Amino acid sequence: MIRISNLQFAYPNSSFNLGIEDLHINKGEAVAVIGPSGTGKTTLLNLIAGVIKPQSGEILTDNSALSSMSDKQRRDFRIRNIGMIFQEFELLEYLNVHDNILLPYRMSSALTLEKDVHQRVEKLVKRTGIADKLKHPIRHLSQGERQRVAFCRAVLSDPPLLLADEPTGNLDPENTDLVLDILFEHVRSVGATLVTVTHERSYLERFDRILDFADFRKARAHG
Amino acid sequence: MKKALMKKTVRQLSPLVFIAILFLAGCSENKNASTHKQTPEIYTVNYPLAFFAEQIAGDQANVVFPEMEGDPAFWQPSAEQVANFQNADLILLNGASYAKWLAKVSLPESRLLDTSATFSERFIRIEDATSHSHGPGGEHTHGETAFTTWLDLTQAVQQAAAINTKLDLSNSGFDKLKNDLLKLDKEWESEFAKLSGQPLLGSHPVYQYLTRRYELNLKSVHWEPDVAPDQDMWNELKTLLSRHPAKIMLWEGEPLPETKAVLEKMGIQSIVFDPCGNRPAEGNFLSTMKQNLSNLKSRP
Amino acid sequence: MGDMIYMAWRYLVYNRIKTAILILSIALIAFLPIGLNVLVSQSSESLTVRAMSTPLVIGEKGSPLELTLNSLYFESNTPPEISYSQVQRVNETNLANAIPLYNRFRSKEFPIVGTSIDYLDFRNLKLAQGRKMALLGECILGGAVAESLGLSVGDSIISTPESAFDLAGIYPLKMQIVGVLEYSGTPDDRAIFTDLKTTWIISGLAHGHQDLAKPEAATHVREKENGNIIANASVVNYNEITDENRDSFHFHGDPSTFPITAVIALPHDTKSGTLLQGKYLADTERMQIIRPSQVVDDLLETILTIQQYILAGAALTGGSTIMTAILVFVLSLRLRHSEIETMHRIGVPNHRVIALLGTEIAVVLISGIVLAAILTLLLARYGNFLIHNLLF
Repeated sequence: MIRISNLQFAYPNSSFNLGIEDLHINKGEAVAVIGPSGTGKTTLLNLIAGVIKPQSGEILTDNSALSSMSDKQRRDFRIRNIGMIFQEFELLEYLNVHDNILLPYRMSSALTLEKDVHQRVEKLVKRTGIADKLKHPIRHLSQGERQRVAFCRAVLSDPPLLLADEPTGNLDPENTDLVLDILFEHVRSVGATLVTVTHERSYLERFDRILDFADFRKARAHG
Repeated sequence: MKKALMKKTVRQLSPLVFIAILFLAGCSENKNASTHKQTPEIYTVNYPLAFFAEQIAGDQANVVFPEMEGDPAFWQPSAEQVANFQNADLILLNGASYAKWLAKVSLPESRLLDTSATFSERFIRIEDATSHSHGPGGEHTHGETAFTTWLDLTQAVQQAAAINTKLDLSNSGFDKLKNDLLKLDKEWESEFAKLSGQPLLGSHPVYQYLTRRYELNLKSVHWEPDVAPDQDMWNELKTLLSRHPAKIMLWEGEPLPETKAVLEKMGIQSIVFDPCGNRPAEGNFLSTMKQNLSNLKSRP
Repeated sequence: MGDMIYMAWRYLVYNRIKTAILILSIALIAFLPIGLNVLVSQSSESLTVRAMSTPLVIGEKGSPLELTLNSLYFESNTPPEISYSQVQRVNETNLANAIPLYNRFRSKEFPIVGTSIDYLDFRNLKLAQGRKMALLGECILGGAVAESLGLSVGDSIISTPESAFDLAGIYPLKMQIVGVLEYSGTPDDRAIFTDLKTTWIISGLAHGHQDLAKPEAATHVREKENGNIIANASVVNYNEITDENRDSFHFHGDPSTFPITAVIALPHDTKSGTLLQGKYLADTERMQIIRPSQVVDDLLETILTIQQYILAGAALTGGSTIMTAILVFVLSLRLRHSEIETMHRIGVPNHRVIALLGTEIAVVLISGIVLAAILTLLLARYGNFLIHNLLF
């Protein structure tokens, strides 16, 4: 699903740099990325998603070389094939739950808002337990509910790849479990690939593989 | 800046100019419409003026002298009757404060013709009116100007001339009317000359201009032909006769037989000299004036 | 496109106060110059039409503008009185027809215009109901007067006394309404018309009382000597002219000395107009003859100059408002930075984000302009009313 080789990335005017010689994530695999702050975990997610381009090396996401695409092509690819979940949920305050979930469809011509989409929304909100909040404004929701809305938005187009950046960082333990249950139930049932950046070590056993960025750096230092 | 403003003004005004032109065009159309409107309608405040206008205009105008009961000088019109006057194309006034009602109604001033305006300096003031005072206006009289102007037939001619000038008709009957009136004036003059210096009585103060024109020695009482004088009035007459021994009394209309008989006993003969302010039962103005002359001639 | 408008709409509704303020300020900066223009062109239109249909006006020497405003629009202060002989003077020239105006009294806020019924023909005024005034004490109402006071034919209206302690004996006069005029869209709508003689009665120059020589008036008579009857103060001064007392009304003095405020002269032709104007040129002349269209042109030029200054001010205000609006927009972009960043990360194309922001601006701008248009239409509809209530 994801293949990274000889990747080099540095932010301009910054000492930070990220190098990955070889990384392979299989289709349907659930991978947790851990490691200290500032080691480039989020940067990795952005590179995989094609939000940023590496200085050198190659990233194949779902067999597509994003770095050779135009900006427009990368965005269309992203909105179709990658679901993104953030620590701060990143919902739009001025839209209600329903409109937030439909946001990708409303804002991109790569997706078309057909009738079955609405049926999918219905199913999703039922499954995540927010069916009765559809018309509510975001500010009336709890943190857990907000992350469930963000989850629905991310998976509505049924992307083969889910990228989650600290998805439980703002949640209490109870909601953490709930959100993780939903997330894993989804990826397992549709066979999607999941890459999650996290600090939480308590639920690492749910993942198929753990990528420790501390090891990466060490490996590089040794190499 | 100023030039630009002017330009702007002109630009803003140009539609207005257009509207104004339309408006003016509309007006002139109306005017045409009203001149095409059959024959003009002429209203008059008394019968003599109506007669003059009829003689001058013939069938070129529709002369209307509304039916009035009694003396037209003291007519009190209703609002509807005034409205008829308002709609006339021309309204002939006698002037000389004739027709008191004129001061109490609204008439279109542009369509009024004061037929006696040309000789207004020669109006006669009535001196013996009651004066009264109250309020800040001080003493004032409701005194009047003598208004039976047409009994001086030369004045009647002037009034007719004023009408003629106003109507400005190519086919006018004025010359004939003028000749008739002036011929009668001469006849009156020669007949009245026979009464020169002789004291005369008038039943009512309507003969002022007649008196002046034909040099009569006439004094008037305030009698009405159809009302029997009371004792006060007889006494007043006797007082008057003591310094003005008249043998003839001119009446506006035929007096009551009893009055006539008493006067005859006093040696005073009654002669009808009708001013003809209102439309006569038979004949017209000219025939009435001629009748006045023959009444005068028939005195013993 | 529908999605964009929907999203923009949601955003604007969510930030409704900010949106309302933006729309309002844009509406106002658009409305100010447009509305002013409408108001000025409307007032200049009504002023000019009226002035152009009034060839010449004669009044006592003084401010031509005041004479015009009073004689044509029944506004401004009462000009100095002139005598009725000025009407006769015009008529005697045989150059023009004269229409007298005595515009001094009011009933409530409405002017009572004493004139001749020629005025109605001259202004082409048509009766909606009733008839022209015919008898003393009768009046007709302009359409707006009848409507605002709820009066019609058969009702009466009372002149407003000029002061509570009028010692000159000016009694309020109750006038019968015999006609109501059709709306003409001119100041005539807001006037009460009556015969000049009726206004003379209001001014105390004529009055009615019992005939003091008659026996039933004996209780009012103080002395009677040598034909002079001196009445005491109990003589009834009528404040209403009825069929019964109409005959007793009489004028004291020579009507040619009675007051009017202006004479409208209608020259028979252009040349007569010029000749008539020439008769008022002498240095010793106490009257002025004015051509209202000239006076109004001068007035409009002044108004247009003022309008230019106001427009310049409006441009400055507009400029600063637009800059403030841009500032508000830029600040809100900063607040929405994370929203834009999120859109970017989930794969929303850039042009869509720009389109959303553009739609929001467009909705605000269009709403502002539509609001300005509505305000302008309202102004166009009720502008004349405003002019009357603000300007005069």
